[in-house]
Amino acid sequence: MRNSDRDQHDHFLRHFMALEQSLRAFVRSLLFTHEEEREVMQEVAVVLWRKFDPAMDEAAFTRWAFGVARMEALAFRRDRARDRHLFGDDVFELLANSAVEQSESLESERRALEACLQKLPAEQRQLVHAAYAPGVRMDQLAQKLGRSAMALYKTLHRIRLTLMDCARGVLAREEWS
Amino acid sequence: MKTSDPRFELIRRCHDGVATAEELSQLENALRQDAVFRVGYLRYMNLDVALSAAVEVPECMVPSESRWITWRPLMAAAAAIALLGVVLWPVREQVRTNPVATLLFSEGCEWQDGVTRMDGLPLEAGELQLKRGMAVVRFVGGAEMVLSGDTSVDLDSRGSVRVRRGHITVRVNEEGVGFKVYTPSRELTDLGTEFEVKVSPDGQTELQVLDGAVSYANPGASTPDAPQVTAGKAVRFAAASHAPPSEIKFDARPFADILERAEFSPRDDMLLVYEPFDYADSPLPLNRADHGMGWAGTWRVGPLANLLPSDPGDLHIATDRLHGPWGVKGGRRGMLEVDGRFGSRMRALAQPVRLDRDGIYYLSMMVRWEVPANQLKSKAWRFLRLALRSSTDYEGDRVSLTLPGFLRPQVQTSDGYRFMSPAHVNANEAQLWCAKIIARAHGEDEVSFRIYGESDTLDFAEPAYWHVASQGEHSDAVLDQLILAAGGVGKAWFDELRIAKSWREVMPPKLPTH
Repeated sequence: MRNSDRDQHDHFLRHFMALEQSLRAFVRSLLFTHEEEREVMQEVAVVLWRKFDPAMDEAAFTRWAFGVARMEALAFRRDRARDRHLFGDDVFELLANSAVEQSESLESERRALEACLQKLPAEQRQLVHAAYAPGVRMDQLAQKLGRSAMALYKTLHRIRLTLMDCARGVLAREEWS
Repeated sequence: MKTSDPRFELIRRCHDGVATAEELSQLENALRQDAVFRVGYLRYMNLDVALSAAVEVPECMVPSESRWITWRPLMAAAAAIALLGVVLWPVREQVRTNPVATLLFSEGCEWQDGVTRMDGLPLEAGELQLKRGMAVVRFVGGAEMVLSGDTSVDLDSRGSVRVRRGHITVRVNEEGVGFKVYTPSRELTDLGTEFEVKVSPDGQTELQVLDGAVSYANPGASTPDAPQVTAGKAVRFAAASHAPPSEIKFDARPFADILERAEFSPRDDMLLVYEPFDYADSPLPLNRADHGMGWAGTWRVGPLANLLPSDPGDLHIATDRLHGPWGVKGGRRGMLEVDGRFGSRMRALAQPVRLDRDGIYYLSMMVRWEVPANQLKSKAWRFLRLALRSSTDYEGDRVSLTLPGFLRPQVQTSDGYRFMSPAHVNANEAQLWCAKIIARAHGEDEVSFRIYGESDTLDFAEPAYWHVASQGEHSDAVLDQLILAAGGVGKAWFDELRIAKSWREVMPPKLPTH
């Protein structure tokens, strides 16, 4: 790789890595499943790199990247998930704007999550690890655990809410310390 | 939006893919009309993504080439890197080594192939022919082996070796049980033990068992009920014969004894950088902070110092604050004391750490971080750091070893490339920071980091387990600046900072043995 290519690549990576999780959360909010989100994010990364303009500053890159993510999510839904509910363009736009506005706060919550995961009772932590492991199917996991899929969904939902509260608590304490 | 808001149930149903068309419309309307709900929805999905990233790489002991305790990319950064590496650099060199062992030490070694092998070198499967001297090898599977004198072996796998001729002594810990030694006349299987094997040029094999037991069988005929040789016994197997072994006199030397008597000579030539912080004055003006060796100039104010204009950035030197139990020098006389106003100080290296060439570097430093437990996770006190950066590209690739407030050691090699240990260490006690950098001109660079606490025993060689290690890094950086940094309140002390090309030079003055 030539030095200029490498510089450009490094420049791109800095922008992309800073934004990657926010984009992922945004794409996830438009698509409902992790598999769809991963597929779209792969396309997003490719498009961003191919069309990357090193002259862009961080703010311009952020706006552009969310735009690309939105377009890729739209394209995916139109091409691959026509039978599924599709948010209107206005909702896409609103979610993109909120994701940009909240990106710092969302990033803080992701950071705080680490400590919060450790605070979960071991059983809940293990359940999270089992449920979020790549390729896991909820119905199969539920069967393995001897529960109904619905009960499992609800348990995970309660854990997520607990973690959200915990993350907020951690951040609030940081603010005051 | 509080988590008690019943609309989270609507989010949950959509998230889980069980919502009806009507519920999806409700969700869409709520997203359209209510900004607070939108944020709540994004927070829920944000958490979902973060959880997915958090468990993508399991936090468990994973055997790998160098047997890291584990590694976990922060916020799935590595997943993105991997994605970009594949998608964006289709022609990028993907050279990865596949070592089965590490050469821990070599003393007076002359190798048949004439190659000079550095301490710490990862060894791939294949022939290793020693003409003279002594070498200590640790297999990835856990077994450790001393080769002495004229010895020829094939490193067969992470858990086996073939001895063509010569003399080896093997020590196998619990995890390495089952280690196999193949000789021309027998297949020997370790059953949790320590033993010596000699193979004569005509293929005759002698086995002496120092501890535990070793089973033996004809080549390829090993069975669970194979006969055994137990501790204190020695036998000889005739070459090209399946006859039972004959008993011989036991005179093997224990593994630890061999290491102790070897008296690995100091390799001062391999010490690149040393800062003992043995300054008499405090505060110490930076223009007089010039002790040690291997430096190009004095300590300087680093870019994160945030000093008042009137503050020249003098160093504060303390004494007697680091009492580690490891028997290494340091911690009593002068040491650098830092507090929340320290920010960073940097010093140029006379010889840079080059990631663009093949090389192995070790770093070590004694540290004590004294901070009330309730302040560790506050924003105010967040980290201690030792970093190597480039003067020509300060924000570019680097090697950064960090202990953050949540006390899980981290390795960072460039912006966003961060690897974190799943294991915690303790603050408020003496620590010994150790790192190993394997630089490759062609192929993956590796950075691994371990923090020993007061209750940890030092290995006789580089650690068998690291807290954390990088993955997938390729850099050509020439790192010629060393930076010490600290953020927050409280106090910390740094002492005995070293960079060397051999483990024995970062763990002076005496090699500890088991």
